[in-house]
Amino acid sequence: MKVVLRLILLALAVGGIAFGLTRLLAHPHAKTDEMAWMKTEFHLTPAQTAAIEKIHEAYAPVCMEHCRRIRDTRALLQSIETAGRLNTAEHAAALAEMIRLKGICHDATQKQLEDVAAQMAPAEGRRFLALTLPKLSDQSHDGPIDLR
Amino acid sequence: MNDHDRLSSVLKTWKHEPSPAPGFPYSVWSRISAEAAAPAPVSANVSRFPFPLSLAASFTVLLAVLAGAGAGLAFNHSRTTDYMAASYVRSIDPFQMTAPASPHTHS
Repeated sequence: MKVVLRLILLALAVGGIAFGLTRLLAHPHAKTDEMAWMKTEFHLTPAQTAAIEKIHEAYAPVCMEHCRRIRDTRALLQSIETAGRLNTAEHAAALAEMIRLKGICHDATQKQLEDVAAQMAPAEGRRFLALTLPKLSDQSHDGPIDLR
Repeated sequence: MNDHDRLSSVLKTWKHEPSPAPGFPYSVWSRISAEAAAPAPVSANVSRFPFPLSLAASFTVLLAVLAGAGAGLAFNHSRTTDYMAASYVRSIDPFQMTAPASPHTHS
């Protein structure tokens, strides 16, 4: 019984050391290119990779335009708040515009993710969406807005 | 025959038989029993197994190394996957891209 206990303790110690060393030596986050990560993680074929790259290219100008509008609205809101014109019609209009933009951007990003997932094998696409959808900036359009 | 020759022949035949030290057997047995009673180092206790178990112990250690390394790799993979998924979403979500601390920006 004592021998078995010693064996268990030894196994636990050795297993713990192996776990720690592997975590330390195999660097996570080593890959920084998202497309390269997607290729290996979701086993994309060259045709699927090309199709996803095309989707990215088509989305880039849309994304750029959304970013510009968000920056403009944020700057407007900040200037209103800095001037102390809170609780004015101008502030309410800027806030409403920000909420509207948030909804548009959320829907556009979600559609982009679904379009990318549609190019993958069905199981990989579902896994991709399960991983990425929860990381969207907000799951509902009614949440508080980060104005920074 | 001179003195040197006589001394040489005496030395050749001379035998010295020392008498045993007092309590010699007792001191030998007490040293043996003291060594047997002393506790072995912890490392020796942990790593020494009776012969029939030595193979099982080696096999268990090998399995523990494989399981530990496997769990480490799985943990790292899960962390990397989560990190890269978040990074990808950040690169296409305008709200996250325009956040002040975001590394992703349109040029």
